Parts: sequence; structure tokens; C-alpha cells
Amino acid sequence: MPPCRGRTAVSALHKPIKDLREENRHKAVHSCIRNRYNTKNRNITKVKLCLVKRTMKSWLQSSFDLDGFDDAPKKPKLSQNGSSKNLEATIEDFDVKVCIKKKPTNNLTSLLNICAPQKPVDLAVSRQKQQEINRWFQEKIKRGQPNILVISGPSGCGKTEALKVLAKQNNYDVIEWTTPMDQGIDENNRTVSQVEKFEDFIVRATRYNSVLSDCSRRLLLVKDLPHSYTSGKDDFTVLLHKYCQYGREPLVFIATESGSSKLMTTLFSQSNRDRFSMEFININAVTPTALKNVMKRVSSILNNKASQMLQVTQNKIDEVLSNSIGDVRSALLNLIFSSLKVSKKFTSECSSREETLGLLHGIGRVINPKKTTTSDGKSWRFVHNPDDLASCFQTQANTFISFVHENYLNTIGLNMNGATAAIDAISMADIFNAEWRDLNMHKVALSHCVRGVMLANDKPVSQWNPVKKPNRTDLQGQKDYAAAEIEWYKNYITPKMKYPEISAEDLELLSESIIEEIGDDW
Amino acid sequence: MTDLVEVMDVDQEAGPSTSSTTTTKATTKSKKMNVPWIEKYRPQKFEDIVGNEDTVERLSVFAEHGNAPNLIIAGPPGVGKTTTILCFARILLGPAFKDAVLELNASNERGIDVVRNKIKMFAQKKVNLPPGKHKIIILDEADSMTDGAQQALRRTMEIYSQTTRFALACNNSERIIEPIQSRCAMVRYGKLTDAQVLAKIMDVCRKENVSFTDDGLEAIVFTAQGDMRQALNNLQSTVNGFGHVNSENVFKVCDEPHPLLVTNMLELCLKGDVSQAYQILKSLWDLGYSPEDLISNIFRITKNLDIDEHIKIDFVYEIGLTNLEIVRGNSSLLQMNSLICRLCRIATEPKDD
Repeated sequence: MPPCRGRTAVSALHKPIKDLREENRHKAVHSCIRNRYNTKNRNITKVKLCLVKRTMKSWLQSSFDLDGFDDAPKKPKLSQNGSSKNLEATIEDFDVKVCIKKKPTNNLTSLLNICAPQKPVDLAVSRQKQQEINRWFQEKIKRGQPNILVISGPSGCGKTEALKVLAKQNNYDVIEWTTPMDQGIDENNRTVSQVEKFEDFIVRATRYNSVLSDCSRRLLLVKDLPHSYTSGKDDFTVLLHKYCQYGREPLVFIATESGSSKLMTTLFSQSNRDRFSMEFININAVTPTALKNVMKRVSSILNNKASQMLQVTQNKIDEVLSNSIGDVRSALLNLIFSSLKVSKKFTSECSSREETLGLLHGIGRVINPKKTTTSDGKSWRFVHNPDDLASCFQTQANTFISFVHENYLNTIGLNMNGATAAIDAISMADIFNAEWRDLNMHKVALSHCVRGVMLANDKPVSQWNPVKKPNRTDLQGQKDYAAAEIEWYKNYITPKMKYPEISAEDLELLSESIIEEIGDDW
Repeated sequence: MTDLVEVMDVDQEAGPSTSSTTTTKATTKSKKMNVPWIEKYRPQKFEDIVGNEDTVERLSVFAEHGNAPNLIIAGPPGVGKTTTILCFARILLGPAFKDAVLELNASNERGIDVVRNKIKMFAQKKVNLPPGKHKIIILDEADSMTDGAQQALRRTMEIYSQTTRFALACNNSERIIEPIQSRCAMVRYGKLTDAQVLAKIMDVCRKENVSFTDDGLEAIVFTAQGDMRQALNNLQSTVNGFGHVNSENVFKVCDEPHPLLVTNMLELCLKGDVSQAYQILKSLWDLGYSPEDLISNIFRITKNLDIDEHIKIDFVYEIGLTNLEIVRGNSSLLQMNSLICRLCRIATEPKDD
């Protein structure tokens, strides 16, 4: 069996796959049909299906999370109320194996499923990027021709969801590759490696139509490549060649951009991009407004569907929003976690409780320092002790300092002296923090940074400025650095000599090797 | 024979808080020497966990009903990260705890092969559990996992989300790659307050019948710095070594520069009295304290000094520079002396404004 598991795609916890829901429905329909051959009235199947869902819980309950939350396209409500009782009786006789729970409300997976976006409007990805993807669907894809799209972006920005929703809208079925765990054995008792299976998937998965599909066209989705590709990029080029020769349906790669991943530079290098005419769409981290909208939509759903377990309040949303920036998935998870209804209160022996501060609240307190004068009126102190603030963020000193660096100018106004003092403190903290041999240095660094910025800002300007997330520049920095180094060497070694034109491809290769060297050094 | 009985006894009683009720004095005495208190008093119930009540309450709800998300608990050492996770797993899984929990910490090999094989094998394993409950894979000290292993973990997490939950504990959340952070509910634990540590220590003292003085407990709280593990260990060592907990004994055991001396030294610096301050520094140095210990203690006390914020930041700056020098290998008395001098100059310099 080819490893194509599109329809039975394993539902990932955080990427709820709407297909599963449909699949359940399909299964239910099939079993209904299978078991229902003795009944005559065929056009009430749908009504029955509803009833199956309603009545099933009492006598058979699945212990898996695979149940769907059937709210998507509302079936026409039971119009024949009179006959429903009668129907129930008939259904009792069916030996229906597939069961769909009616009350999945405290089930995490299904909760996440119902929160999944259904319409393009619900997506957290910006309108413009949606249009780009749509354009690819409508203009770039030619029937029966291979075509490659690479979607990249930070984790949790909604890449996969966007693709799935838009594919649905454009009438495409998404077939997702899942790296198999086991060594497969084919009919000749020969072990099949992951790479072979993957090749098989790329070339053959779309050959045959799915029985259950209601979409006319299909696309292949690859989220995790088999590991052997990440080391050698030649294999990958060969594979792409193969795909371009035999493939018929469009292929989409989704690559998560994180600071350390070299995937983008090695596998999808410029030479590969040109050779296979890949399309590239880079999705940015979710903007605060988009995230707020998503949270608003989700909170009403959650309050509706899981009211006995969760209580989502605006407070909680704000708290969560202040902590997870640009990451829908973790925001949603944290929202569910923090708005869980807690029934019993523990009586703690000590009333004073260490405050767990959100990152953004912490930043806010640092760049908006508040002072109080002490009772004698001469001296003053900070409302929030800098060292307490620093100790809250001990586990993420680097992040905190880069956040302060990104945002300290927001409130400093035109106070030039303050700005210099603040950046002095931050840069000194950066130097302290770079010393990895002593853990104490992180504490000193954080303390210095926090206190320095708070002191530098005498009169914080009160204007509303959203806290921004610092850009991850290390990767781009490495690239630029490598390019600059090449240029420098070229000038240095052969100042006058006319050197032959170096093709873009060679340059790319060269810079990659240098990037790797740098990476090793670090 | 008696040996055997004792060993069995210890096994049974490894749990906390049971000892206070009915156990006889004799067994408690014999155990006293054998079990580290940190294990003996490790909380088994959520109610016993000190600090971070918000999170612990939520987790207790999840433990009853199941369906918890994947978790990352980040926080400094000794605040109960591992304890929370173990509690959670024990209550969630009940009798199935042995079968349905895989615990790996930094001492286990956790390279990419282990993630690919051992963790996946466990995730595929079939265990009968009530609906809504999941197998749990505990990855303690997850920040020491290599990038590659974490990358491999990322998909495993998604694929087996139907049957398996991950609970990660780490000190530094920056070392967990972003895709994993994004897939987990992130919980941050703050340091324990001194009051919380003190309450627990007094509780233990009462249960163990320890004789103590107030300043002794204060000293333990100071040396622990919000780290419960350290507090309990220090307490037990002091009790084992001297039988009585007062500040002198505590500092003998923990062997830190006495905070009173350091405070004195800093106050002399604030007055600008270099020679007196140097005397104290010299005496500390002659006692054999390493410059790393000295500098970290000086920093800790500087944080709590009640002085003008502008002076304080300059102090922190100088301490940081000296610390940097020490880490680079210039760990001589001269460096410490120069620190003292610079601190004095800062304190006596007239303000610019």
C-alpha cells in the first residue's frame, strides 16, 4: 500500500483536520447503508444519521478522540418530527459499529477541531497572502502539470490552515504525507526505506481517485520531509527532478522557519528554485489585530460549546494575547488552559504569591516605569521593583532583552539622553549575557538591563504603542555576513584583476558552505 | 532480618506527610538518616505543592478529567516543576501509572535516535486507559535536548496526539525550539517567595523534631534563594551535622560568605571607607572563598540594598564587569579589590545633576 494517507490522515492535535469529521460521516453513512439494506426508505438516510449521532452515546462510547464535532454544515433540521420516534426504534436494531459521541465538549481534540477556521474570513493569515495563495491556485496550476509551491513562515502563523481552507475553496483535496514510523515491507518481503516510500508518494499518490472524495482535484502536501533529505540536498534535487517528470498534481511544501533551521537555504536554494520554477510564499507572523479577531471568534465558540468546562473572559484573552505574539496555535492552547474552570480553591498558607507576569506586561512595566515618592517626600522608588521584574524572566533572559531592545523607544519620546542611557544599559546587558560560562551573568545582565532602561526614562511618554516582537535576524544576518565576506575576499585577493563572472548559483553554494562553517563555529 | 524490614519500611514510607500521623518514633528515627528529605517530603498531592497555585489548580482539574494539552513548565530549579508533572501523571493515570508513563531526563540518552525509536515505540504502545486519559511522556530538563532531537519530536507530538501527551520541564525556555513551544501550553513558574520556603521548612522541622533558632531558618531561606530543594538539603545537612539549626551552623554547612560580612563591606563602600572594606574582603578571601562565590553573593546583596537607584545600577554595572573578568580567568584578589575601589568612588562621587 502506498503510504498515502490523505483521507485517513492522522489528525494532528493542533492542526485539526476537517476531513476527519467528514470521514466519520462517510463511515457512518457507509455503515448505515450497509446495515440498512432491509429498510426501504432511502431518502431518510440523512435524518437517520443525525439520530445515530444523538442516540449512540448511551450504549456505545468510543474511547478515542476521533469523534467529530458535527456543527460544520448544518444538516436540514429534522422536519418529520412525528416520525422521529419511529426512526429511533429502527436505528436501535442496526448494528452500527461506528459511533459518534454527542457530548464531546470536554474533549480537547474536538475543542480544537471546532475552533479550526472554516472560511477564508476566519483565517489569521493576511488578506494579501490569501490572495497570493489563491492566485497560485487559479493561475499557476495547469491541469496535469507538476507545480511546486513552498509556504514558509514562523510556527503557528496559520500556514497549514490557510492552505487547507483555500484548497477547499478552490475545490482541491489535500493529501498529506506522513513519515511512516516502521520499516515497511513490500509484497516481495523487501524492506522499503522511507525515501523510497516518499518518492512513491510524490509520484503516485494522485494516480487513482479516492472513492470518498467530493473534490475534483487534488494536491500533495508535505510538512515533514524524511530526515535523510535534510542532510543531503542532492537526493532532494533528484527527487524534484523525478516529480517534474512524472508528477501530475501540484505539490506544496510547508516549511517552518525557525532560527536554527537550515532547510530553507539548503533544500530550497536559489538554484533549485530557478530550476524547478518553484513558487514561494512567505507568511509573516500573525499581527496582533488578526490574533485578537481570531481569539474573539474562538472565545465565543468555546463559551458556547464547552461552557461547563471553560469560561473565557476578556481578561483571560488579554492575558493570553500579551504572552503569545504572532502564534495562533499556542495562543489558543494557552487560552484553553488558562480559562479552565477551577472548582475548588486551595487554601494557600502564604497569602503573598509570586506574580507570574506575562511577557508583555513585564515589558510594559519596564518601558513605562512608575515611581512613587516615599513618605518623607525626599526620595522615590519604583512601584515595581526592577529586581522582582528581572527575576520573573530569568528563564528567558535573551528574549526579554531583545524585546526591551525592540520596544524601549516607544515611550522615551524626544529624550535623547535617556535614549542613549537606555541603549547603553541594553548593550551592556547584551555583553554580560553573551557570557555563557557562568549562569550568574544572566541574572546580572537582566538586572542591569531592566534597571537601566527604567532609570533612563524619566518621563515616559504616554501614547499607545503596541509592543512589537523582535525580528529574528540571525538567519538573514548570517546570510548577509557570508555574502559580505565573499565580496571582501574577492576585493582583497584580486584588487585589480578582472575576475570571471561568478554565477548566482556558485555564489549561493559558496555562501551556504560559509554559513555552515559559521554555524559549526557557533 | 531487621535490615530487611527496615528497607521495606523505607520503601513504603518514601511518600511524604504520612509519617506525621501514626508511625512510631522508632521507624522515623531509623529513616531519618536514610532518606533525603527532598524525596521524603516531595509532595504527592496537588494540595501539598508550594507556590504557583494558579497553574497547579488548573492541572488538578485536568488530572481529574483528562484531556490535558501538551505542557511545558519552565522555571528556575527547585520550584516544583518535576514534582508537579509527576503529581499530575500519578493522579491522572492512577494504577496505570507504571505502564503509561515514560520518564526521560538529561541522564538518559535523548539523542535523535531515542526520539525516533524509544519515544515512538512508547507512543505506539497500547495501554488500556479510561476515556479522555492519555499516556504521558515526561521529558525532564528538556532544554538539554539537541536541536535535532527536538525537531524529530515535533512531528511525533502531532502524530500521536490521539494517545499520548508530552510534559516537558525546563529551566531555560529559550532553548526549546519554537515549533515545540507553539504546540504546547507554556506555563512559567516563578521563584518561591521566602515566606513560602519558610513555611515549608518550619513544617518539616516540626515533623522531624528539629531544634532550631529563628536566625537559623532565616539563614536557610537566604541561602536557598527561592529554591526549595536547596533549602531542604541545607536543612538536612545542618541537622545531620550539628543537630541544631542556627545561622552559624547553616553557614558552616553551606559555606557561603556570611551575608552580614558582605553587607557590612558594601555599607563601608557606600561610606567611601576603602581600607575598612578591604579588610573585610581580605578576611573573606583568606577564608578561602572563591571569587565566583564572593561576586555572586555581593550581587545578591546589592540587589536588596536600600540605596538610590542610580547608585545601584552603577554598582550592578561594576559587579557585572568584574564578574566578566572572573569568568575569563582573572580571578585574583586584585580584581576584587579594584571592584571595591570602584564601588567606593561611585558612592562618593558628586552627582552630575
